[in-house]
Amino acid sequence: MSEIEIGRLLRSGTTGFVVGCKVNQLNAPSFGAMVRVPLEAQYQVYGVIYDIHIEDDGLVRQLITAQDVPEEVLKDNRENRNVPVEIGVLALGYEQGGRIFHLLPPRPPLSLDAIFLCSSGEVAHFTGEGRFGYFRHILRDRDKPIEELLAAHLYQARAAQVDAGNEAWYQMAVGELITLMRDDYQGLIKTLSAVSEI
Amino acid sequence: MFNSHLETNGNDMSEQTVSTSEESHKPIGYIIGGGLKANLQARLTVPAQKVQEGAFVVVESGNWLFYGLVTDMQLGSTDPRFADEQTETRLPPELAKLLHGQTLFTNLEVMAALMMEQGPDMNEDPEAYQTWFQKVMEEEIRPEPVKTVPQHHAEVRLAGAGDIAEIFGKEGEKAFFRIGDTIEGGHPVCVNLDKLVQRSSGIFGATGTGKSFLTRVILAGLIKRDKTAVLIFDMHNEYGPDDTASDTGMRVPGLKGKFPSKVRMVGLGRGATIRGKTPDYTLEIAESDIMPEDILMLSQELNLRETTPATLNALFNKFGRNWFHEFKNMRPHAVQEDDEGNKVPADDSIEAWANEANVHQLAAIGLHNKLNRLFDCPYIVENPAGDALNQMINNLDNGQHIVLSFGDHEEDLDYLFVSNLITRRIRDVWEHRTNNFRSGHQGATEPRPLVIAVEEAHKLLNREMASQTTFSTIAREMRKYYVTLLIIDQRPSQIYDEVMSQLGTRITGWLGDSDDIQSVLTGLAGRDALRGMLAHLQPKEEVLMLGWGVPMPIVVHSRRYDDAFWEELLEKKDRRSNRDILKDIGF
Amino acid sequence: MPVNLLDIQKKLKGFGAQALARKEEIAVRQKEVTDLIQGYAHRLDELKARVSYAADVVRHLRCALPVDEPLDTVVPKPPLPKKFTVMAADGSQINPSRHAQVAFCVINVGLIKMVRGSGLTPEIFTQSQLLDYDSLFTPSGVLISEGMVALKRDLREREALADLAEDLLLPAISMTDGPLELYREPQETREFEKTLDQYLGVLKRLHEQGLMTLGYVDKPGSSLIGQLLELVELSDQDLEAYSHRQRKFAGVNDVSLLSDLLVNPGDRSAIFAIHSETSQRFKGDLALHFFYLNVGTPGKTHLARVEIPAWVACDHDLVGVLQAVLTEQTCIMGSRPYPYILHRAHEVAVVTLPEHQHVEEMIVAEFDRRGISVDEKSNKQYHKDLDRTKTRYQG
Repeated sequence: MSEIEIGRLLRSGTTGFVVGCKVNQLNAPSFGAMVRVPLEAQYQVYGVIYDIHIEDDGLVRQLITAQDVPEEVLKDNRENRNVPVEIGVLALGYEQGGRIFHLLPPRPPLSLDAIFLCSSGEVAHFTGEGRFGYFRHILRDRDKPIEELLAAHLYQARAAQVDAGNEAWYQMAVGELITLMRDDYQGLIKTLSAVSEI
Repeated sequence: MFNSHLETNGNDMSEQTVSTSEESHKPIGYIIGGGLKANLQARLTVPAQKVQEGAFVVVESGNWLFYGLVTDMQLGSTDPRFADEQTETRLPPELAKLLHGQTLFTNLEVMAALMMEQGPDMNEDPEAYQTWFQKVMEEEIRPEPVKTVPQHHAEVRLAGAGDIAEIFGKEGEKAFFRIGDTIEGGHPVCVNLDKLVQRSSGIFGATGTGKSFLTRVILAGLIKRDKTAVLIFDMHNEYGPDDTASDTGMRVPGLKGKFPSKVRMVGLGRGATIRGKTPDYTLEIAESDIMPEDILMLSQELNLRETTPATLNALFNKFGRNWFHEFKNMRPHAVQEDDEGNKVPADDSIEAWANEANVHQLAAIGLHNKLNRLFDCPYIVENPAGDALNQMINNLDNGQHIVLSFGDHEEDLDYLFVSNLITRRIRDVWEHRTNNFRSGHQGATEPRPLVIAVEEAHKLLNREMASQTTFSTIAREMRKYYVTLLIIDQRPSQIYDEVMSQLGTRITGWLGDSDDIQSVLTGLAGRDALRGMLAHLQPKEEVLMLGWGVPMPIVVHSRRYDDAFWEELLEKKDRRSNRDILKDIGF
Repeated sequence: MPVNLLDIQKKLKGFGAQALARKEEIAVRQKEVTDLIQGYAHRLDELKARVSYAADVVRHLRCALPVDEPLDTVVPKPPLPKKFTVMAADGSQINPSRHAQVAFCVINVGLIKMVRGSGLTPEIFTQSQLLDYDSLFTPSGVLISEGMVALKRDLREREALADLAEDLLLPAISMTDGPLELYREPQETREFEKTLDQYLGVLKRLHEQGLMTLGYVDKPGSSLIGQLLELVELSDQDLEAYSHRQRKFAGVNDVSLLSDLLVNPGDRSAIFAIHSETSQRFKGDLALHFFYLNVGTPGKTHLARVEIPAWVACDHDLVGVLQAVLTEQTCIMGSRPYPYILHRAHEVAVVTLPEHQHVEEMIVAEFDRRGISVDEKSNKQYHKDLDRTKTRYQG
């Protein structure tokens, strides 16, 4: 299990949650990366990062008016200051009793629960289970940049699956996406264009 | 874990058509619609090139197998835009392939012809399997016409050798004779020779489609089968003697060479040689055998007038069976002086007879003129050397087969006249015997079934002739008198519809003319679907078999008529008894 | 509507007119003072003597005292050292309140230490101090004032800096917000004296550690230079009657006097000592000095007052370093110049409302455990606390 903690939960709902973290924790999570929130023994929620949001504040706005910002000041702002970095996570499923479910989690994580980045093995385990049921959750929300999210996710999950020896996963995943999206020509072409860049 | 059709691509041009027996059990698609009236629709899940029009497919639905033919293939897309846009130029090949596999597809139209109950699983329920197997063996369960439809998503696969054998019979068993192989799998397709000859049948195809080779194959099969006598009117001297193929220049073995003791080659006219060889015997036609209807049948060929029947009738009334001889010897315009020195028609003049018979003089003279072509025929003689016609009948009766070669007499007149006359005689004999047999006459035996092979059949069976020739009678009678026809023609549209519709089995190669195609399909169900298949046959060696004599229509890559064919056909030679061998040598 | 704008509107004209008149008056006075600066620019000894005289006759005299630089001195910004340490401390507090459930006081000091030129991330510290329960009450038994708490906070700020001052990379500068001079009007004189002694002790420690210390006064309103020149303008008789409540050059502050002189960013004024009652307690090396610094941008002068102890003021090299560092620090904040590091110390120190409440809950819980009865919040506090914002997850 990976122990890269990326932050703690700020707020959550059934379909997803928002994680807060410090800027210096931000080198670990990336858009499209999978995370997990262990909640209790044998139960953890899985999700995918769909948004990383760095809020500004008065000081930051003020600093950008300066001509030069010394390196120490940059680091101070990024590493010391309580600048809110919000990571939006879309719930993809959960694991209970060692079994993966591509269903929305029965209980969302609670405030200040620690969020961990999934290891390659965990990504392969989650994405290789079942028949890509978790794509549903991503495709549901058309307000989000799902084309980019899918491309980023496929890129990372493919690497994990290849590590796990499942070379065919990627083709099957893209195939499933096409099946799910083929009634939405525009959306599908946009998604494939994004995927073709990975 | 994943749906198998995700991985396929209906439009992949790169894969080659590969057909192995293993592959035949892999599904090529699944049923998506259709019905009993319309054909079944199936979604193709393999590259379109793996399937061709006319392919024999099997649909497995529950406990039933449906057998059918691919009659059409259509390109489709889930959204027209997927078809319109050349996405392969925008996406990497791998993605484009996946996209096309899911959004672009090919639908098959399958004409279901037969269905059959499948047995239970041998391992799961051995007892039930045994019961089922017994029923199959006893032919209680066998393919039957389609009366229901398969389920949605029932798997479609190319027929394997076993499926073909199930429907068309297994080569070497009973009367099953391999006529060719399926296009996709190369599985043997047989025809039931016994059934083939139960009704008249036809072999069609434009010139050069291998019609006469196929005929040779079938005739060889019939002769080998030896249940039926075969009489071949060999207008162009092709079937009896060895020949050289016009296109390849290869030597083509004749039937006589391969079945020396079984096949009698008969030449027309005294001293006839066929391709330099002396026939077994020659046939001369006695003038007394010629009946007025034999002449009437030549009306078109001889350009006879409408007065002809009356004239012939008068001749026959006057002279009986000698009419031809008498008429031939009458002299037109011959005069003699009467007692008073006046010139009057001579006694042996046509005019004299006409006056006496109350026939119009000019009509009689005209007929005489026109019959000159017959009068000049060397094979029509007053007293033939032997009774060759009877000998032919005897031969046919005794399990031999006759190739009547026309030798140098290759004109239509010869062909029409001789074939019709002989056929009429033979049919009379067979009718007589049949009646005797059926009425239980003492000593009467069942006549041996006879197949008469007629080339250029449209000359004998066209609309004008059909009512007059014996051939059309035979075609209509089916097997009532144990005589059927095997007609071979390149212009089936010229053959009288009623005759065509009576043909049990039709084997047809490529036809260029839509009237001919239409004609071959006369009286059959599913004509529209079959028409496309017929039009798309390869010009050589591909034939469509259809009609009553075959369980279902099928496109076949016809068997090659070559040395290998003969080796296969005669392979049991070594195991035959010495007696048979001696018989073949002529002892 | 809580404000009747019509009423305001009626008075607006007169209000504007008054402001204009006053501004014109001040402009006249300012011209006078400016001329005096020119006149006395080099007459430092006269000025010193006058202050010395005035100190005896004027109660509560508070003015600038020239040291050795002419009054109109302008020193441009020297180059920045390649490497130096800059530190800041700032404090915030939870004042004891009679409206709360329990009386308690927390002083929270935020510190930041940045080694410029190192490329390292600055270090952040917080020191939170819960004042002893006993120290929350005056001898008369009432809660100590907010001013007293502020005094303790100012002391804590410097203490915290001194605590961090070991093994520093020199030169090193520390700063706090506001004057170095403690200027309060607390009732608790005895407590003030005690605190001031501690404060001076800390300043001494800082000096010993070589950590320059300064107090940064943003937008200074003082008129120490004007007051100095008033002394020379007044006759001896007038001086005796002089009161800082009724001044000749009222309204003329130092910033307006120097703005035309210190035109370039980084320019500093002459260094002055501060003469005041309290400043007398800062003796020797710790004697209080100040100068004005233009921390603005080209074309937009912005003056800050920088207070430093004598040991720094006397060493012009040290003053130069300080001048350059402060200019850089204020420059980081762009259009609104203020030392970055001071702002960060403030950010670190700030006690948020939730933190306030959390501490209070901890104390109440401890009281409960010990069976000490706890008052209810005052109703006023209760209603204030109601207004809290929450955010909801919206995907």
